[in-house]
Amino acid sequence: MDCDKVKKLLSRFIDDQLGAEDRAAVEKHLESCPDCIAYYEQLLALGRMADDFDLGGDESYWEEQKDAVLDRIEKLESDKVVPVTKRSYRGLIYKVAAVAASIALIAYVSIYELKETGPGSVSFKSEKTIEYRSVESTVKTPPVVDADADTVSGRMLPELFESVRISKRDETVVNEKKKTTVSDEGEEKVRIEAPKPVEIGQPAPKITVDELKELGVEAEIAKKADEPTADADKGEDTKGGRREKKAMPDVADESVKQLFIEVKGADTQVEDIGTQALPKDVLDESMARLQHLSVDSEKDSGPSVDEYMARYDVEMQSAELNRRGVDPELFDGYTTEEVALYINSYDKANQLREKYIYVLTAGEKSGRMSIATASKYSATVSSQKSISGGLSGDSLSIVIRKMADAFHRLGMVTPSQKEREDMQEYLEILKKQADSGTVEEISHYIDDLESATK
Amino acid sequence: MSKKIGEESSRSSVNHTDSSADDRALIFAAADGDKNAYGKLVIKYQKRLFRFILMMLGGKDMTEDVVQEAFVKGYLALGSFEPERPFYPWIATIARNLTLNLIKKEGREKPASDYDDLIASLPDSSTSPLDRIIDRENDRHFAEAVKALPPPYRAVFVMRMFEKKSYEQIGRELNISPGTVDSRLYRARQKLLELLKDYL
Repeated sequence: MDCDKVKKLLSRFIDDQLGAEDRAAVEKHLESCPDCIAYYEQLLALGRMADDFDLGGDESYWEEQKDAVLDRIEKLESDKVVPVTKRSYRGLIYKVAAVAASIALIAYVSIYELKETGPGSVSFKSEKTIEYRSVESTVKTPPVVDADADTVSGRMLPELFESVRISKRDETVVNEKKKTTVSDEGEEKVRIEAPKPVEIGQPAPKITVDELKELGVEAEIAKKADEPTADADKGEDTKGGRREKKAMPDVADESVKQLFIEVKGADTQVEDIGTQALPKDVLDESMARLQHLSVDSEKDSGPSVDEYMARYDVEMQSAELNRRGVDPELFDGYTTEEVALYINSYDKANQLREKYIYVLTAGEKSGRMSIATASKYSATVSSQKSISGGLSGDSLSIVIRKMADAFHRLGMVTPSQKEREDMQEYLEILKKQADSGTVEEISHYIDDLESATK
Repeated sequence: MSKKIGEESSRSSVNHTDSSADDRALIFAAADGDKNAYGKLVIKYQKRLFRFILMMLGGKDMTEDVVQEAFVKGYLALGSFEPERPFYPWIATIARNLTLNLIKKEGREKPASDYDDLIASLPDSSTSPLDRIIDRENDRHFAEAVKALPPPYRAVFVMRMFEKKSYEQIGRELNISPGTVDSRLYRARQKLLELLKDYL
């Protein structure tokens, strides 16, 4: 090996990035080449210099810097951009993002509304409802994944939706539903989204219009909303709500039909899907896609479904469910494969929540998945700020565009390649539902992410 | 799982001790509004963060801005931060995202994804003396030398030597292949050896 080559390799050598063979060759060369040894030692000295490099500065400078930080925080709080009482902020950061994202999501979901199907459909009535609580730290209030419902998980969401009423003037599906609800406690609650996941654990912080105003974020919506409802307070009680039947727009049917066809084969005869529960294989396909959601590759994502199946018999599965705070009895009648799938999805969804505030899960009825994300560093929240209170029929395209934008931003700032690939996938989903102008924009986003992923 | 060099906790000559229990207590307190507690976190980690960002950007003023802003954002986001997680990587990511957001591509409000563009577009901040924060002469030579590196080399060098990131991690964050990371590191080191030959 000649010296030039060795010198090039030495850079990787000191970073421990050489394969065994190259490494051995370099070491051998170093044994007898004073020139390269000298070079090597210089590299080591450079490394030491970097290690030793330290900022000095007298204490007062660093105190100043720290004070500048605290001053800026004070100023923000006094400007009432954030609530003065930080204590409630923990929940509010979800709420802020939730309000913003939820408006978009609710509209999005509501347009593609699920139909009420059979007894098994409205999951909070069904014995198959899966409820579980996060077994993670209690510091945050985790959203809840309801495997049965096509809903925005995150217990706060329906409650937020209740307390933040979209303008009554709107003619959207959203509002049509809302008309009869909210402030009349005695009446049935009509929900746009699917059966609300039951959340156990910390009660979700409630949000009132005043809090919204305080945050200064959703002032427009706050303006249009009426006084907060008392049942923002309600705990798991909201199971009682029922949804009105509403015909799915054709577009939604198309997507569901598409999934059907993809799973079952091209010559599938598709009946009127809306009135039936989706067959298991379509559901499975949706859940399988959920499982492919990106998790930070450096995190341990837990045993795979196969591992669960291989390792766990019913007894162990019950233990696993218990460990996650899920009542195994809910799974009576499910196969071990199904339970394994559930556990895996549960884990992955929880991991996703580390980064994303909301995760929509595939539902029995629609099989469609969307992922809503709100970047913790507020890229999405700020982009949602400009959604005004009312959502008219043709603003679905705006919603889609903003969601696409949010995914794209998240994909661009987020470091993991898998995450970027997932953003691409979600954008593809959105693309299918967008109008022609937005399709172009979304294609552009996808290209960006593709080149970023290389 | 392949060993990732950058994964080990970063050895830094800036007083970094593993005191995650202390951190947790401070974070809990800060999340509840105790700004003094947060101030302690800031004191603990700001030098390290400063060093990283300073080496990336080269200028003191801009670094002060970014670091302060990162800590402010960190405070605001504490509610969604799991205290078991190590604080420094999180706050460093915030700072990194801020530096990426410093420039916008034409027309589109999209964060920059390339440090090179960023650094190339920054005003020359050499007028802001580093005297106040770098005491030792050796360190000063070193800082000047790193600052003299062309942006592509500087970024990989700083991320490797200061943040202890692996080639793969660096590649991901800068949108380049590990092979490119390698060759840039090689050239960065070549150049630095040349610039610093009198001081090594």
